[in-house]
Amino acid sequence: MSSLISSLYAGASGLFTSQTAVQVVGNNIANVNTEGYSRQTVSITSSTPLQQGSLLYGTGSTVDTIDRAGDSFVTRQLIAQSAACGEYDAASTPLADIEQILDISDSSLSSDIDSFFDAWEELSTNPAGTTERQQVLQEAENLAAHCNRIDQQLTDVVDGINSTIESMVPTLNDQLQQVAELNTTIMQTERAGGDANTLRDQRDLLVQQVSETCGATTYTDTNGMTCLQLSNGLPLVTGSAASTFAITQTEGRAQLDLTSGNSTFTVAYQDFGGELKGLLAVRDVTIPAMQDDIDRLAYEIATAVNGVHTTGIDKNGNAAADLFTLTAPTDTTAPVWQGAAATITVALDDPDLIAAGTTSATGDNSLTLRIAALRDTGAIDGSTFTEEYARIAAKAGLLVSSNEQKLSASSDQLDALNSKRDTIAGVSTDEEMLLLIQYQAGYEAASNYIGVVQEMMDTLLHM
Amino acid sequence: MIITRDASVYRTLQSNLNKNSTALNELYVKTSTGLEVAKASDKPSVVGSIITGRSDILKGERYVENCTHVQDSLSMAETYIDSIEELMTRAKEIAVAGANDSLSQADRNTLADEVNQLQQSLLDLANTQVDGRYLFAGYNDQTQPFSGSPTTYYGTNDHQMIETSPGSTVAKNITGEELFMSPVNLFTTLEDLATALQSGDSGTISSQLTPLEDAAEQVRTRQSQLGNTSARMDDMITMHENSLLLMQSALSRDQDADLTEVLSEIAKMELSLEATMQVTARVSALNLMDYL
Repeated sequence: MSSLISSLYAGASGLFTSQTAVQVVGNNIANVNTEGYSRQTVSITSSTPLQQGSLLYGTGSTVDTIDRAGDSFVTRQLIAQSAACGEYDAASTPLADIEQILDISDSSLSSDIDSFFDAWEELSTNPAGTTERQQVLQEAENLAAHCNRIDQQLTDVVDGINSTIESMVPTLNDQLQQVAELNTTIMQTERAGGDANTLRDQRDLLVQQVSETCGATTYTDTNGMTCLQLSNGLPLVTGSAASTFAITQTEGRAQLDLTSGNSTFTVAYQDFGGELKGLLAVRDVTIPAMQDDIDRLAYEIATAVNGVHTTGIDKNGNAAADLFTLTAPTDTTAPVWQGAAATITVALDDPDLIAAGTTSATGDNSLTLRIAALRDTGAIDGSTFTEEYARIAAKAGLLVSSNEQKLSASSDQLDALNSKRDTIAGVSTDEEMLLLIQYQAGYEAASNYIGVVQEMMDTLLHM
Repeated sequence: MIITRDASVYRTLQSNLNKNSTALNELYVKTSTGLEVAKASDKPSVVGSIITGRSDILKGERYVENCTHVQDSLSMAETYIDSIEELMTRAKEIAVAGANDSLSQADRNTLADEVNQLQQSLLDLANTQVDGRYLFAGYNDQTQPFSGSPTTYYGTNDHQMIETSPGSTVAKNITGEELFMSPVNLFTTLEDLATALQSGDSGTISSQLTPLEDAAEQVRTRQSQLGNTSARMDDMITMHENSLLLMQSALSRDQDADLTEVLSEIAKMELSLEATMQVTARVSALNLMDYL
């Protein structure tokens, strides 16, 4: 027969269990809006029974562990999807800027090209006219200035990306350091028999943020530590050691170096995922290609116009000079048009220096027609100048729209994954309320039981 | 599995609210700009036709202006060529009258004087200046083309060509050479007539009739050439204007928003935004705690 004292203990264990459970419920409710928080549940087990004679008596209940809900597969998917979403999201701003720069409105570069050649058409009707000549000069200035502006604005986008990257790196280094520290703390806590649920939540969230920034892949080592590496295998966090990123300025670009232990590696956009990949790919692939296209366009217009213009005679009867000046690239291996958009300027400032014809005769308009006809020649891979501009603008538009589609698809997927994670690890206040009622009832029942046992002991003592 | 209304439902609602209001905003912008394709990413496939369309329209408008310019310039020349033609007709009449045997030498001298005056008028006409430019001087339109005795042409034989349609050009001027000098020299013809009249030999005078007729014919050829070109310009203007209309409607089809469609789309989006908002309000009203 069991003793009343042990019955009293059984009742007390019920009180403790319910109280702990209410505490866990309270913690869940308090963290209902905490990012990355995983719902915790109490795992209640029956205490070791006592054997007396041939009978086994239960001795109440105990809270075995406080578990953390979670699914490592979903977490892994979330990490990967965050990287994809981060990449497209980061690229969307500079891409939209590029699209704005290479616009298709009435005031685009193609309209300036049209106006420039139209001014020559106008000059053909009055080759000696000062107004018409002034108009040609003005339109040439506009065209050159627009090319300069496009190049400058694209460079501004590059600068913007550089400063974004520079501001991201300290945070990223900090996060890597924190993951490494958490690895150590979690291992120590768990080895000591404690539970590190909150720390694990923090680490999962950090890993997800790191992945969003630079597209890391993760694995768990034998000590249960979460290790991170870049897609090319370079280590970001190995156990308790974190690598650091550093920035060096190379040719106006923030170049990223990764230092791991004693080794330093130069990392490029291909090595990353996430926001850094999105930004670096726009900076190192898209913008240089756009600049090259615009350079070539500026170069072809300038050389074609110069080529015809220099065969003419200006109003003063002298052989005409170049209308546009270009600065040749210093690098001899570079394409001849490199830097043309940035350096194109109008060489002439006096309208009389424009050649309208091939003789000094005032009515000679033969050259104007030849220059105006340049706009219809397939000078750039069979395309006219405006067609080439349209191709460049359409390319920018295509990049933006495909990035938008990818962003919308990946953020939908991220939403879906987050919801999936919530159904597994999120807190439902309704559920917690029900659990609260349940544990409250358990607590009340246990305390009533203790009251009954006390009365029984009183009865016994007064016998 | 639990349905965590708190997090996932709100997240879904929020992202749908975002999506709906972004879409609605885009539709509002479309209505206000009237443009379906305001930036390249709206429809990259039509960017090419929008830009070349715009460029073609500008060119088309320029061609219309150029055709009108050629027409103006030619009709200016035409009025003077009409006078030249009348002048040559008068010279021929004088020749016919002068060849009459019954005419006295004094009468012939009077006629010769008139011919000399005609010659002077012809020189004036040949040196016609409009807006500071000589009409019949080829490229040297700021230098007097005809002077001296015998009258010499100092202009050039060039035509100022104006582009009136892609790749094709039309001359906007008649050169002094082709009108006055070659193959028949109008000045010499009148000179010869005056000399013949002064010589008093009716045979010599009659023999001037053929060159005079040739000279008048030379003028008339140019005259009809001008008329033809002018008529051709009319056709071209009509053609360019028609194609401008087509190009403008094509451009509009490519880049303009269909307002009816956008407005009905707006109504639809507003409805769905409203529904999402209502559901959001209802979800937050549903709470177990109200019943505890």
